[in-house]
Amino acid sequence: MIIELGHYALILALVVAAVQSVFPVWGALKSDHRLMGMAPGLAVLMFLLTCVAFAALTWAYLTSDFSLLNTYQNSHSDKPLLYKFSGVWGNHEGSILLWVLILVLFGALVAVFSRNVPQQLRAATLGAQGWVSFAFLLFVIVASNPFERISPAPLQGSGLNPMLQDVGLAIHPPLLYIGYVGFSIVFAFAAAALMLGKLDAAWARWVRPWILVSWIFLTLGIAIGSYWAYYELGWGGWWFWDPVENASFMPWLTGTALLHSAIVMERRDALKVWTVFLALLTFSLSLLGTFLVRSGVLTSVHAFAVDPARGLFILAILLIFVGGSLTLFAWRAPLLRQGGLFAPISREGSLVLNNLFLTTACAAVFVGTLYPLVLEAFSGDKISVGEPFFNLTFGPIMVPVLILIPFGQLLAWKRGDIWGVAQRLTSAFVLAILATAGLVWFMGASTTSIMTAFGFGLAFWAIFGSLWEIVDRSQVFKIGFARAMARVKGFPPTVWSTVLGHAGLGITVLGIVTTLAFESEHVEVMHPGETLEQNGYHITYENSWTRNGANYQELVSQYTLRKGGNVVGIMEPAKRAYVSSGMPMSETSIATFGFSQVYFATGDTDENGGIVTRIYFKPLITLIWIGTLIMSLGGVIALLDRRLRVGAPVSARKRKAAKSAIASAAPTPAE
Amino acid sequence: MTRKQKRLGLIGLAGIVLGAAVGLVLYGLSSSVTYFQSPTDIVAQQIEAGQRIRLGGLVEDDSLDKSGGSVIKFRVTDQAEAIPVSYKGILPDLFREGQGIIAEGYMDGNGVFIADTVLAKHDESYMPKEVYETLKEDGHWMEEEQAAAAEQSSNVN
Amino acid sequence: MTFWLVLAILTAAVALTVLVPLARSHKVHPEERNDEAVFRAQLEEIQKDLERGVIAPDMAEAAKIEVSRRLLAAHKEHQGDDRSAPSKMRLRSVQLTAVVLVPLAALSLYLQFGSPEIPDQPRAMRLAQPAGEADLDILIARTEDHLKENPTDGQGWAVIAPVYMRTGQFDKARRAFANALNQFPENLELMAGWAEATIFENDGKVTEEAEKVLRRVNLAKPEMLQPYYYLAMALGQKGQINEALGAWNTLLKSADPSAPWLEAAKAQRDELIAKGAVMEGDAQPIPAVGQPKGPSAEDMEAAAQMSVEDRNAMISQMVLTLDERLNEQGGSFDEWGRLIQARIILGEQAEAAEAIARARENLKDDTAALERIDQLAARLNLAPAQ
Repeated sequence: MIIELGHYALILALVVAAVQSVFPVWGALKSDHRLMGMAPGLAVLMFLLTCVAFAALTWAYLTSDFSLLNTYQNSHSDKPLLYKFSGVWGNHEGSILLWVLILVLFGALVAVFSRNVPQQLRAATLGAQGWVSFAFLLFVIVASNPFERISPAPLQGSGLNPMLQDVGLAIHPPLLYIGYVGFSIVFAFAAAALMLGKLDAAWARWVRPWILVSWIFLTLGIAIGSYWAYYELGWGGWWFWDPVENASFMPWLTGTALLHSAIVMERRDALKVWTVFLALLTFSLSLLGTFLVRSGVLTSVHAFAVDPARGLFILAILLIFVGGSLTLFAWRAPLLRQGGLFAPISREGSLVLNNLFLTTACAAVFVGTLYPLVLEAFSGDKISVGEPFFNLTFGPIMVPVLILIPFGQLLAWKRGDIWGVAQRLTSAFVLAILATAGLVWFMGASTTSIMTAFGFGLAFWAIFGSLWEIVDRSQVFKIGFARAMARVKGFPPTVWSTVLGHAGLGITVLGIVTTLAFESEHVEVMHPGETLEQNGYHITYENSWTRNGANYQELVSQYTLRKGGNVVGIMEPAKRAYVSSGMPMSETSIATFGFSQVYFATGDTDENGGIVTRIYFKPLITLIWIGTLIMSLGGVIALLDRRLRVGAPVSARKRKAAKSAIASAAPTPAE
Repeated sequence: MTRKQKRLGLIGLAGIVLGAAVGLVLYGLSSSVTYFQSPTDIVAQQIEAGQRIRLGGLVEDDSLDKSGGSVIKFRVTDQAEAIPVSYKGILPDLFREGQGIIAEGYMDGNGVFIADTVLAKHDESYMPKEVYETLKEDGHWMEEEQAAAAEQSSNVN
Repeated sequence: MTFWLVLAILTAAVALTVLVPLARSHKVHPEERNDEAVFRAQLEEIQKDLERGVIAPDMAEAAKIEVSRRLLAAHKEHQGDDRSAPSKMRLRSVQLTAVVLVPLAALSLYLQFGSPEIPDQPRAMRLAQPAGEADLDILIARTEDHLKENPTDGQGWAVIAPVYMRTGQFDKARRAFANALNQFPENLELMAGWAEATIFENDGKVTEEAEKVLRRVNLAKPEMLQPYYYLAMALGQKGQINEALGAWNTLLKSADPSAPWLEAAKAQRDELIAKGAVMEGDAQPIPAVGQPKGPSAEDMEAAAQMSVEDRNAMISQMVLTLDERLNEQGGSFDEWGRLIQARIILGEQAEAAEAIARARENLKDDTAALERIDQLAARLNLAPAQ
């Protein structure tokens, strides 16, 4: 009964989505408060119903109820509890249901938390979100229904894929989905603004928290996915420019651009049309990502069962939403009131440049991802566009972004003084040069190419240049340390979020450049007792033995890692064989020293007791993920900014203060 | 500057950036793209030595030779032609004879494919898409196997 | 019934959520002019930034002017802000939707896609079913769970292995025989079973290893017919057709004319003759003839086509046959142990206890066996029936 109840709840959610799609929007267009008033309640209800459905499916997994086709195919009573749970979304149907759950969760969040948003905009937004919810709920029920039953039910499931039994994989999709799907709310806000024909600086402030939330989760989701691939696949790689990775990376790029352009819109009432366009574009790219991943049109580690009907369904959703939103944009955007103007050399000017480069970079990734598909469709040639292409195109486009970051932070709004800023940044520039020289010396000057040194310089420039904003704003050289500290304490959160976001990017770049330039890989056949010397380490292969795990048996190989005579690590990479499926799996062993890592994976054994050993040295590699964490932290701080919550009930005192401000400002003639 | 001039300046800058990006992309597509080839293609086309390609096919039965220590030799076949492959490194967990794989690398002068990457997907019945399609075109693909593969090919998210 | 009631409640909740906002009256409060609030807050922030010295005074002034303009514009816009008159048509259409369309759509979609007749079937609950109602699959699953926890229970493996053979799961059968052999390494019947499972798993090809094992069994227990059958097959497969023909003839000579595998053996012999095999000398009969144990190909095929009930009956029949034979002729500890184990697996505690009592009676002269029986009873938590 629980399962069927979940199924019915899901169907009801679809019906509610249909109601949500029609009436609140109608009400918003006709200014009918009764119809508009329906929206928040329906959004919450839709979320609750989807929760019931998701809980029912989870229940079936936890109790190993194999009367569901989905559990039968993807679960097994022997799975550890955690993986029974994560197995709910470790398959096509379940993952789409999770997608929908997060989608309606965002609708409910808007209903509950965006009380400061005008009723008309809120109703239209929730209505537009209703369209997306309706499309995906329909897809779940019609084309990938997780509640399909089998009778008589088998007693054992067939899903014990050991690849899916991993903590990283259990949390990576939900995070990524929160990021992907969060942009649906941003999309809905944009569509609502277009429908209502009203778009001002206040809109940007209402939307910004949702952009931030989505961006933070997308950043974390991508980072965790990358770390998972790094330690689980055993290839030592952390980014493959795999189409599925690109699918999440493209919305991240436009989402980052959107994050910045929304600031301009909020502060200066400018870039309005562009911001709306970015909002539509970002969600369209999220949909494209979903399509690429779920339809199986691409060769990828991530593809689920290839089912043309499903692929076509998602393609239809994609085309309807992209086409529909672009049509809406083309039709309504010219009617919007023109935004403010600004000088090219100013904070907003630098943000426009940032947008220009980020969207161009996204376009390059887009071409690289889709070109093979298009080419194959038209000429039949099968090609693969890999790392060399992206390094060649994406890399150079990001260089100006890194150079501009510190300038943008210090330029004033409206009119900036580029030479003044350059002077203020001299110290940061010197620091970056010194740090680069230091790192080059440390890594060995003779082995460092000019390009690598340039990369270091860029990274340090972004790090020190963005941190310099704190020094600069505190005026520590003018007013002394004590008073400067008092000023630092009084900084608004936006300062910290900008600094952390940008410094985090610099740290990630530093990790990437160092890893790319100095990582090394050694594949050797080692025999017990054999020692080899590599990168200043003495590596001794001790022996191998068989060990029994919960539901697998593994051949563990032990290596001792010595540096300067001291044992610094005992490495135990393993090759696992899962008992019930007989599926083999490699387990890597990673030792971390400072920010660098030594990475072990083993291969086959030969007749003489030798074992193929793959050893990677990855200098400063953890900086890649540490940087993304710092970036996300910057996002969190921006989200905590009290100002983003402003708007709802304003106290009488405050309103008075504001009124007097108008009174004092209004009579002043225009500039 | 007037409104119009500012706008023109912005559009001009955008044009320059986009133009540079288009140039980069075109250059990238012409220089750093790897073509997928089946063994038959390689035999027929006389691929230049050193050019990066992706070789796809099935690992020929009884062709795996691990006697060379960390250098592994095997043959990749599309049931018509077979190309010897030499690879230094650790084979993927699910690499085995009869399995569809993709190897990335180049041909040396002597008709041996030097692979630096070998991909076999983490699924017992996985068949890389390119390999599957080539085999199907060549008519070497048995329908029931295809059905079985489709049924089982659920994979990592 | 409860199920449909819950569905009705859910549907009603949805209809209510749609209808309730219609009844609420809304007036525009000044507070609802939210964009004005945003701009006021912005003005405040500029003031605060100015006080903290984050921005220069002239910048702050310019920014204030800009925001104030927006505030005035928003304010002006709201002057003409009145809601349109409620329209009857919209109201009716919402009511119609809530009361008619929502339930109708939900129910018809559910009847299309749902399966209200199938109950939840959590695995633990199904395994807890009483033995009488449980079908073979459940019995097997229960045994599997038991063996997963007690992988060294050789008796258990020995019981389930033939069941796997009969249900056509030859790979599992082979592993089960192997596991049983781990506990009883010298048991010839388990060895023969292992070999047979291996052969079936390989689509009838007698592997080298299977042949080796069969030869060992044959050597140790020449009166067992099963090894002859498969060894003859092995010879044929290796192309030694003359020798194979001899082997078949030897086997057929000693066979019980009603043996179920007879036809298959004859067919294979005839095939060899058709291939041109020549018999050298006369077929020697097999020493002391017993019935070959274990199912033949035909048995297996028949089992695969059986319905669940038939298979259940077949298993029960196996147990009964063993029970009767032990009753009449007595048996070794191993055989009694297998019977007791089988009873436990079928969930028949009472019969198991009774079997223990009978085993003790039957083996009363063998103190070693008695001790083992007691151990087994203790392990299975069974007190011998008094």
